[in-house]
Amino acid sequence: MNKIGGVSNTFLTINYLNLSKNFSSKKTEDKINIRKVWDVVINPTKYDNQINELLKNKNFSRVFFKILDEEGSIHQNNLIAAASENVLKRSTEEFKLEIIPSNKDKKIFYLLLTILKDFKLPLLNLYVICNNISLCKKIPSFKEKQAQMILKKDDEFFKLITNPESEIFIR
Amino acid sequence: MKYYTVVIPTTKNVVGISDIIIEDPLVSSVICENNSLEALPISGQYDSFVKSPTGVIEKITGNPSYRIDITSKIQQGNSWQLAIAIAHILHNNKLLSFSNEENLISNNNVSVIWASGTINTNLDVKGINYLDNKVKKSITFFRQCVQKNIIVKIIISHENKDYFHKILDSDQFLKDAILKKQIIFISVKNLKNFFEKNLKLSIHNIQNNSLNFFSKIRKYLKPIIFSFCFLFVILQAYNIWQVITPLAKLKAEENHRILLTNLSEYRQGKLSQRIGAYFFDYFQQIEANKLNNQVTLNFLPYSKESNLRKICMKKEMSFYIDCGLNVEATNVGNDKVFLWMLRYTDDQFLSDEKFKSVIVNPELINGMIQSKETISIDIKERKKPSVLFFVYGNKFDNKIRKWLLNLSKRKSLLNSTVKRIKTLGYGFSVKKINHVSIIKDVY
Repeated sequence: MNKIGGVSNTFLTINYLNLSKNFSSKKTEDKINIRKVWDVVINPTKYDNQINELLKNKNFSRVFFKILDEEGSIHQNNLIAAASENVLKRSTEEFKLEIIPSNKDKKIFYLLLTILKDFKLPLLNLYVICNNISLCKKIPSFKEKQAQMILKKDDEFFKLITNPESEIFIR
Repeated sequence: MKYYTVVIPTTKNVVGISDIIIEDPLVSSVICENNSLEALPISGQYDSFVKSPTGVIEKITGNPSYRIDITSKIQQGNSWQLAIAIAHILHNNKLLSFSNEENLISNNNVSVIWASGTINTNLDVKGINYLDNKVKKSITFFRQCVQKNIIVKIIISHENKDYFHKILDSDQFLKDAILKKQIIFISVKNLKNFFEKNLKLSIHNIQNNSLNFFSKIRKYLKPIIFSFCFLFVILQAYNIWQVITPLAKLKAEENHRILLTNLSEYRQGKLSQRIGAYFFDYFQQIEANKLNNQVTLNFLPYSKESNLRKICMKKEMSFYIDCGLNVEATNVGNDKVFLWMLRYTDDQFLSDEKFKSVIVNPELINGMIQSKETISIDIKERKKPSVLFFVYGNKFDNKIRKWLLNLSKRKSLLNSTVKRIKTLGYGFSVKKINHVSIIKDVY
C-alpha cells in the first residue's frame, strides 16, 4: 500500500469505526470485529474460503453490505416482481446477469455476468442477500467484460440469485 | 460403421473424453472434469479454440458453444487441441465413442485415437513438447489396448515425427506393436487432409463463409435438382394426362369429327399438347398394328377354263391377265374383326385416252370375320387397273363406310382418309392392281 492509499484507507477505516460506534447490542454473540469487516472488504481474496461462513453472522453481514453499499460497489436492490417465479435475467446500468440452462442437465445453469461500465477496483465476488441470508461466489476471470459461472439448481446460491427479493452486490 | 474413442495424453496420464454437449450460443465453452460444476482453468483457451473467428471448431461444426467433459484434469498447455478437434469432428459425424471415468474404452469395438498437437486456423498441426513423457505415461494404456485387440492410432504433428522415431528406439514394446500394426503411427501436417485421407471424412465447413455457402448449396444441389426434375415430370405427366383423357373419351364416344379437329390442333400446340397427341397417336398405332397383324390377305388368281388353270398361278406379285382374282382375308387372331374393302379404278388409268369409254363402278364390301375364319372376295372386272382399300376394326363403324364412299368419289381424299383411319386406330392396307395384273402395296 502506498502512502496516499494508506492515508485514504485509514480515513475510510476511521469512518467505519465511527459507524461501528452506532452499533450496540446486548448479546455477546452480536459483537463483531469491525476491523475484520474492513479487512474482508479490502482483501476479499484473503477470505475466499471463509466469506460464506462469515456472512452467516447476520450482524457481520449487515455491516459488511452496508460498507459495500457505501463504498461504491455494484449493487442492485430487490426487484419489484409481479410474480414469485425465478428471475433468470437481471440488469442495471452497471451490469447484466443472465442465467441459461445447460443442455447437458436441466438442473445445471450457466450464470453469465456482463459488466457494462468500467470499474477501477477489481470485481472479485458476487454477493447475494435475501431475507437476512447472504452468500458469496467468487467470480472467475472476466473475458471481454463477461464472466461465467456454473450453478446447480439445488444450490442455495441459485435459489437466492433467482429470487426477485434478493439484493446483489458485486465487489 | 467404425467408431473411435479419442484420448488426450498428458504428462501425468491419459485423459478420455466422457461427453460433448452443444450449449446455448450465449454461453462460453467450458471443459469440466467428470460432470463437475467447476470449469477447468483451460476453459478460457478452449472457448477461444471453439469460437469463431479465433477458434476452428465453430467453423467446422457450426456451433459456437460446447460443454466438454473429460475423465481427469488438464490444467495447462495447448496440446489437447488436436485430440479435442478430432473428437469434435467425429462427434459431429456421430462417430465418437465416449470414455467414462472408470474405463477409457467403454466399447471394445472401437479404434482409439491418441492425439497430441496444436492447431492453427488453417488446421495445420503444429509440434508439441514433452512428447517422450506423454508416450511414457501412455504405455500402460497402449498395452491394455493391444491385449483387447483394439487398434490405436497415434496422431502427432509432422514436426514431431523424427522425435517420435527416437522415442521408439528406446521402447521395444511400442516398436513391436507398430511393426505388428497393432498401433498405427500417423504424422499429420494438416487436419483436413488427415480426415480426408485416413478417415474418409470431408470437412466442408472449414473454408471461408462464401465457400461455406457454396459447399452447403453443393451438398443439397443433387436433391434439389432431383426434386425439381421429379416435380417437372409429374407436372408434365399431369398435363399430358389432361390432354389424352378427353381424346380417349371422344374416341370412346365415336365423336370423330371433334377428336380429329382437337388432335390436329394439339399437334401444333403447346409442348404438353404435342406430347399428348404423340402418345395418343402412338397408342393408336399399336392398336392398328395389332389389327394389321390379325388379318392376312391372300391374292389367288383362278380360271374356270381348263387350259388356263395351270397358268393361273401367282408368281411373286403378278398373275396372268386373263385369270380371275379372289382375295382371301383370314382372321388369325382370337377376336372377331370387321372388314371394309373399297375397290375403285385408278385415276391414272382413267386419264388414259384408250380407256375413256370404260365405266367405273366403285365396289364397297363390309363384313365381319370371326376368329380363325377366312372370307373370300371375288374381284370382278379384274382386268381394270384398280385400287383395293382394306380397313380392319374391332367394332363396326358406319363412318368408315362413309369415308370410303367419299374416297371412291374423290380420289384426292386418299391421303386424308388414310390419316383419319390411322388416327382412329384402325388397321388398313391399300393394294393396287395395274393393267398388267401386278399387285403392289400403296400404303
